[in-house]
Amino acid sequence: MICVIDTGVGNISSALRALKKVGAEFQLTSDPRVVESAEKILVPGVGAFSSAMGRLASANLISPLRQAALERKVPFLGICLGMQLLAESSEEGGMSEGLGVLPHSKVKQLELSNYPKIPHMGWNNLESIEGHPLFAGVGPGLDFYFVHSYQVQAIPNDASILYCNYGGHPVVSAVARKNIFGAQFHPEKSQKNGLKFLENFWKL
Amino acid sequence: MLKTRVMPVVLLTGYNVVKSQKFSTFRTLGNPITVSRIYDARGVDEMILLDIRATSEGRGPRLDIISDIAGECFMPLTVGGGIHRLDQALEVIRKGADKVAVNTAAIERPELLKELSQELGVQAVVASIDVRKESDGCYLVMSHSGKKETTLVLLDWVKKLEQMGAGEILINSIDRDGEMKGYDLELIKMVSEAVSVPVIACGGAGSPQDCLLALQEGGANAVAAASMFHFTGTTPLMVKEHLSRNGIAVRLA
Repeated sequence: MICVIDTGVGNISSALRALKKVGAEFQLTSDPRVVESAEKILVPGVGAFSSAMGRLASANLISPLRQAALERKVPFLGICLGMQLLAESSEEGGMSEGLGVLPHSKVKQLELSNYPKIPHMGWNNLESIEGHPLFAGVGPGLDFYFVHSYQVQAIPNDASILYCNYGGHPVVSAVARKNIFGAQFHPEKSQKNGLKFLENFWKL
Repeated sequence: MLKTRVMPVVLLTGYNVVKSQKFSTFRTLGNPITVSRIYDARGVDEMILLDIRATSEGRGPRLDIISDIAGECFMPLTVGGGIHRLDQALEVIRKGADKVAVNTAAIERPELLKELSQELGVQAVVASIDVRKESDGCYLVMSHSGKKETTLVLLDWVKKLEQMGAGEILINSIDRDGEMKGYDLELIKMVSEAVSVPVIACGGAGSPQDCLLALQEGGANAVAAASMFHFTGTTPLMVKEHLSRNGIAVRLA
């Protein structure tokens, strides 16, 4: 059973529909007791970093989420904003603290000096999918749908980090470190490739 | 590399898919669920769904229809029509939209864009502009699905939309709507050069070549079309194949 965290904002129904499509069992929750015993966790998300963290805090979810990720080490996937929430902090809307399950990492804005237009919006292909278990069987094209203005930086060296190329500069697109996974793109909106990615998480 | 998006636009009046010419003379084309299912099966890059009667009829977005349509789409979905408040936008997104498009509501109260982008992030906020070209060559910004004139100066308005929190601009030419004789390249170029957020060209596409011109000469970041996909044999994939042959990166798989 995948425990999908209800962050209160964002397009949750799309993520749920995609999970249903790949045959996953899941439960949408904002109940800390459910999270305390969850076998698998998915944090979806569209929206602003600090308001999402604020909602997790007011639902008393931060500590059970950290425990699940770091102590119980259950498979833990963050999508889009959910991936950014894995970081220690974000510069979005002033400095905000994240879940901190990817040590040292920080969420930084995509700089207009590096990238043609912000947000980075549309279909982009990953340069490689090596070393990330959730991409098994994805392809031949590696296109996924992105919509974001921030990316996770300073991810620990022992993580596997996947990139796409936007205007000649790399954008952090996915991460895997032990039981922690992140996707900056939206698998639930990436048609065949995205559904395969979610199916892999379910079957993990 | 980031791929250029080719997007079908689906216009709704209540539960019917329609297509207009110059924002009038509507043809009814059937059921939005069927249309959405076909586009999803064809692997289109993104779909824009606009309820063109909502604001004129003084009602909000039809959440039941949005939910039914989103249920058929594992692709990005932008929904517009009748969104005048943050709570309506949140509901639309909860029903499965990824982005909301606002037009008249932003003209009446530009602060709405700020409220939407603060809560949803700029990437989820599309500002749609309907423009009519006057005989003297000036562009008039129109509200209420092209029915009411405004006094807005086009380029000032585009910049204001960006500054207020629009993450993307959908620029639509009323004169070219449904004509399938090509985009208004001059209009698209002006708007694309005025802002740093992505610009979607809309209104007038009749062939893959028109789409290529909107990108190469107009400087648009994405192209949208309705009539071409509804009434001609041209599919989004055929457009992308043409773009690809001309050196534009698209998603073909």
